[in-house]
Amino acid sequence: MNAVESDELTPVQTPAPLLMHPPALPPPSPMAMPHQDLEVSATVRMLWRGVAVFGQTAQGLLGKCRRKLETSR
Amino acid sequence: MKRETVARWSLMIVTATSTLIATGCFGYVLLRNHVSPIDLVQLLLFVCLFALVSFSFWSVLAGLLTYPRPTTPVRVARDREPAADVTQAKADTPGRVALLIPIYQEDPARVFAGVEATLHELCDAGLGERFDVFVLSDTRDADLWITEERCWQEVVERNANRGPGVYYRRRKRNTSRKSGNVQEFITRYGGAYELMVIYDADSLMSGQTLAHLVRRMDAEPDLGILQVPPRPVNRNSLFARLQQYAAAVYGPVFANGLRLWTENDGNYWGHNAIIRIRAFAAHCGLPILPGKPPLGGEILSHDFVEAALMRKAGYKVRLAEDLNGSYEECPTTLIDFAKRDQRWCQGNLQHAALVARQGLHPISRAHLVMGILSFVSSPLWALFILFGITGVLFDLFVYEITPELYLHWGWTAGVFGVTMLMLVLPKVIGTVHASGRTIERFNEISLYASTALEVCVSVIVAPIFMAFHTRFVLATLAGWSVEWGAQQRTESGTAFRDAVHAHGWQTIAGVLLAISSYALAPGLFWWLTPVSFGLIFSIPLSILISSQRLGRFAYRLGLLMIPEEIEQPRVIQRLHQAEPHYRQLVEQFSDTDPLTHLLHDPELLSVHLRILAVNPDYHGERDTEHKRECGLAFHGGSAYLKPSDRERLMQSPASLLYLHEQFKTGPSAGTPPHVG
Repeated sequence: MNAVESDELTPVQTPAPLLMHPPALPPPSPMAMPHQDLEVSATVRMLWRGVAVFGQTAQGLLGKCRRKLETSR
Repeated sequence: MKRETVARWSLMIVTATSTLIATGCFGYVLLRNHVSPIDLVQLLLFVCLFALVSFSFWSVLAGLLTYPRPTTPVRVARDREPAADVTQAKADTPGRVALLIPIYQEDPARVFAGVEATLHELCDAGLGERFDVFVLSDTRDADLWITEERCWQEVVERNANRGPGVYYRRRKRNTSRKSGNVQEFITRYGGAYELMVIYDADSLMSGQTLAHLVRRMDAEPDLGILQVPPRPVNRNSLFARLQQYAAAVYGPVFANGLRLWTENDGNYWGHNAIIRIRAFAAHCGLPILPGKPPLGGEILSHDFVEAALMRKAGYKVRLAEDLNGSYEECPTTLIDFAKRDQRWCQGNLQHAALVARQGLHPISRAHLVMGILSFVSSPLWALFILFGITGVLFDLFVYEITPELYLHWGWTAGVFGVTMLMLVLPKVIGTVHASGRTIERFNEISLYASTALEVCVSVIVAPIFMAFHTRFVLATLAGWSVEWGAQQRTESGTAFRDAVHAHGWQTIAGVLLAISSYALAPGLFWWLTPVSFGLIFSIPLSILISSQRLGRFAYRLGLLMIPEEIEQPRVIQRLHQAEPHYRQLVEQFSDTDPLTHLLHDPELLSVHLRILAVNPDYHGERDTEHKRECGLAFHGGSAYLKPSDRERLMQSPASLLYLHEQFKTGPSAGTPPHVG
C-alpha cells in the first residue's frame, strides 16, 4: 500500500544513522511558573473611587444647572 | 543612611530646586504682563519637561563625581576595572547555568557564529562544564527553520570536544513572544539549572564577563537579576556609529549615575543579564492585563515588569555597571530605529496599568514611570510648542498685545539656553571623562570633534523622533496595535521611496509650521527653526545618516571611533572568524530550496527527525502523511507549497520519510532540483 494513501502512523526511522550526534535537547526537568496577580493598591482604589464620586457629583450638578436653565427659559 | 538613599534624596532635592528656579524664570517671562489659561498650561508642561531633563542631568553629574578612579592606567577596550568579586560561593555545589538565545526569524549565520564564539569564551574562562547553551527558536518560516537546524548541526560538530552542551529547540506555537519562549524553557528544563544568562539574537559576552556574573550570583543568593549594560558594536552606517559612539563615550558615566541611585532596586533590559531561575519561575510569571490590546492583554515589554516582580519578591536586581565585555548590535537606519521604538512605545505605555499595583518597590515604580515618560515626553514637547505658538497668536490677534516672547526675548533665550545646556552638558561630561580615562590612540581632537558631530546630529533629528514618538503614543492610545515582527538586523541603507513613505508627513508638517509661523508671526519663525528644519529635511536627513558610505567615511577620518574598533575584544574577533563559515553554509541553501534539500539529504533529514523526536511540542499528535502537501511537493516541487503547508510537512516525520523515499527512488533521485 502506498504510504501516502494511508492514515496509519508510520514508525519514525531516521534515514541515516547519527549515533555520534548529541541530542537536540536534554531530558526534561520541569518547573512551575505561575502567573503573578498584581492587585491594585487600596490607596489607588480609594483615590480612583474618589475621582469617580467627584465625577458623578459634578455630572449631577451640571445636569441640575442645565435643567434649571431650561425651566427658567 | 545608605549610600543609595542619600543619592536618591540628593537627586530629588537638586532636581526640584533647579526645576523651581527655571520655572520661576519662565513664569516671569510668560505671566509678567498678562495671564491666560494657555500660558498656565504651557507653564505646567514646562515644569514636567524641565524636571525630566534636570533629573537626567543631575544623575549623570552624580555618575561623574562618583566614578571610581583607576588604580592603574586602563586600556581603551577595558575602560574600567571591574570591582573585586566576592569569591566565596555560598552554595557548596554551584548549580548549572543555561545560556538562552531566544530567536525569531533571525539570520542563522550570525546567531550560530555567536554561539561558536560564546563556546570558545566559556571554555577559555573555565566555565565549559557549568554551562549549557540553548538556541530557543520561535522562527515561523520553514526554510529558515531548516537552515537553523543545519547550522545547529554544524556548530555541534565543529565544537564536539568543547564542554558546554549546545541545544536547539523550536516552539510549535510562539505564544507570548520572547517572554513565552523563555517561560517555556523554564517550565520544561528549568529544574536542571540554577542560573540563566539571557541573550538577544545579536548579543555577545566575553568569557571573563560571564565568569564575573556567575561568581557574583554564587556569592549572593538573594541577588535575583544582574544586568550588564550592553554596548552596541559591529555596525557601519553613520546612524549606527553615532549610537555606538554615544554608548561607548557617554554610557559609562550614565550607567554609573544610574547604579548610584538604583543600587539593589535596579532594572532588567531583557538581555545581557543573568537571572536566578528558581526565583524567576516562582515570582516573575507575567500577569495578563485587563482589557484589550494595545493597552491590555499580554505584556509586551516584559523586562521592566519582571525586574519589578523580582524586587517585589525581595530579591535584589542590580546593574553591573563596572563590567565590560557585553555587546549587542543596534539598528542601522533611522527608520529601523523608529520601528523598534514603536514596539517599545506600546510596551511601555502598557506599564501605566501596573505602576500603581500593590507591593511594588517605589524605585520599580519609578523605572516603569520613566519608561513611559521616555515616550510620552515627545507629545508633551509637541504640546508645549503648540501652546507656545497658540499663546503668541492669541496675544497678537485676540488680546492685541505684544507677546511676552518678543518683549523679553533675552529671558526666554536664557531659559531655552539652560534647557539645551542640560541636554548637551551630560554628553560633554562623558567626553571629558572619556578623554581622561584612555591612554592610547584615542585622539582627543577626534574625540571632541566626534562629540560635536553627535550633538549636532542629535539636535537635528530630535524633532523627527518627537514626531515619530507623538504619532506612536497617539496611535497606541487610539487602540492601534503594533505587529511585533522580526527585527531588521542586517545593514541596509534607506531607499528614497522608504524615506518618503516614513517621513513624508513630517516634511509636510514642517513646511506648514514654517510657512504659518512666518506668515502669522515672523518673530516666532526663528524660534521654531530648530524644529521645522529637522522636519522639513527629514527625508534627505534620514537617507544620509543611514548611509554606510558616510559611516565608513567618518571612520576613515577617525571620527566616532569606539574602543572596540581600536582594540577588538577577543569575543568579537571570534565572531568575525566564525561568521564567514556559517554564512557560506547558509548560502548553500540559497541555490536550492531548503525543503527540497532536506528531503534529498539523509543526514540533514535524520537531524531534523531527531530534533522533532526529542521535542515534546511535537509529541502526542497522530502523525499522518499529508497527502495533498506530499503530492504537491513531489510532483510540482516544494516551492509550490504555501508557507503553512511547508510548516505542516516539516512537523510530520511520516510525510518527510515518505517524500524522502519517493525522491530516492524516483526519476530525479540524488539531485536536488532547482526550484524558483
